[in-house]
Amino acid sequence: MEREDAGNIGDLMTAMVCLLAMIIVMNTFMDCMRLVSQKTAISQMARDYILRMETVGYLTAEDRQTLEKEMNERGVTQLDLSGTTLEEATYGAEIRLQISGKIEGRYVFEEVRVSTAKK
Amino acid sequence: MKRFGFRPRKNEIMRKDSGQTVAFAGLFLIIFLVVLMTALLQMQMLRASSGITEDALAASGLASALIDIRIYGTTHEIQITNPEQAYARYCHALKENLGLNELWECQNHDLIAGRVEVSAYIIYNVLDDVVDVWERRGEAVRTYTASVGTVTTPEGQMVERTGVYSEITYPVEGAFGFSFEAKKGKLVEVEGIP
Repeated sequence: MEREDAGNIGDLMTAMVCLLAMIIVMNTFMDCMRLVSQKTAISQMARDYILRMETVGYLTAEDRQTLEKEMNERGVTQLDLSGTTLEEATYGAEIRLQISGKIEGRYVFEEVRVSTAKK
Repeated sequence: MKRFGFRPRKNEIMRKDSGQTVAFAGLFLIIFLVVLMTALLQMQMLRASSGITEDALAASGLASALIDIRIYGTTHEIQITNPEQAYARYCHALKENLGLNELWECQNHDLIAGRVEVSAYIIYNVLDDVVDVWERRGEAVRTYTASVGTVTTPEGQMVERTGVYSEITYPVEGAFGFSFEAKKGKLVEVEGIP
């Protein structure tokens, strides 16, 4: 009777360990996928804003507010726009959008987009 | 041996086998899951990398597509008159947009695993029915003129407006040790204000 119980517990333990390992693998995978898609979304936002900047020659105060709001909604914290062109540039001058911050308060990212003013 | 009762009983053998089967099946499932997840993650990474390089190509092409505003102001013709300067602007913008260092290598090796090469940079100046082409491949530069409707980009897009086509090649390394040379090309067109 004791031996039978020991066998059952052994089997159960093996199954539980496997299940736990699978849950960990799945969880890690989901985390990675979410981070990649978040980074892609941030890149897309940077692209949209550099295109807007091209037509006006800089990041307007209004666009800056919208960008900050959208980044917050994406879960970005410690947002920093240092290095971004915030004053109107003349036709052909370099304009820069530099976004850095943290995703989910842990993962540091930086997006740099460079173009020329077309206004 | 049999006589002294040392032979394991049949149900004990079966139990041992059953335990081993559970462990083997579990291990197999875990390995399968890890391989599958890694492959899926790799695909997602490649898709993201492709999107990022395409964005960078478009942004850098646009950065270099600066028309001569004096000509545009007087005749409304859209022309990129200084190709060498446009190419220099393009290279500078591409380096910044892809985060490349002085050796033209990406700091993020997950996206681009080595040196990025600008394999083609072509300026198309369309004037009425004529296309003036300035093409740079490596150090070689060639210029030629053709009629509108006969010129296509290396990717096969018809050229109908003034624009810039650029193409880059770069190595990509993935999981399980596979690697390949990726190629991306993008045409950006310049349109005047009506």
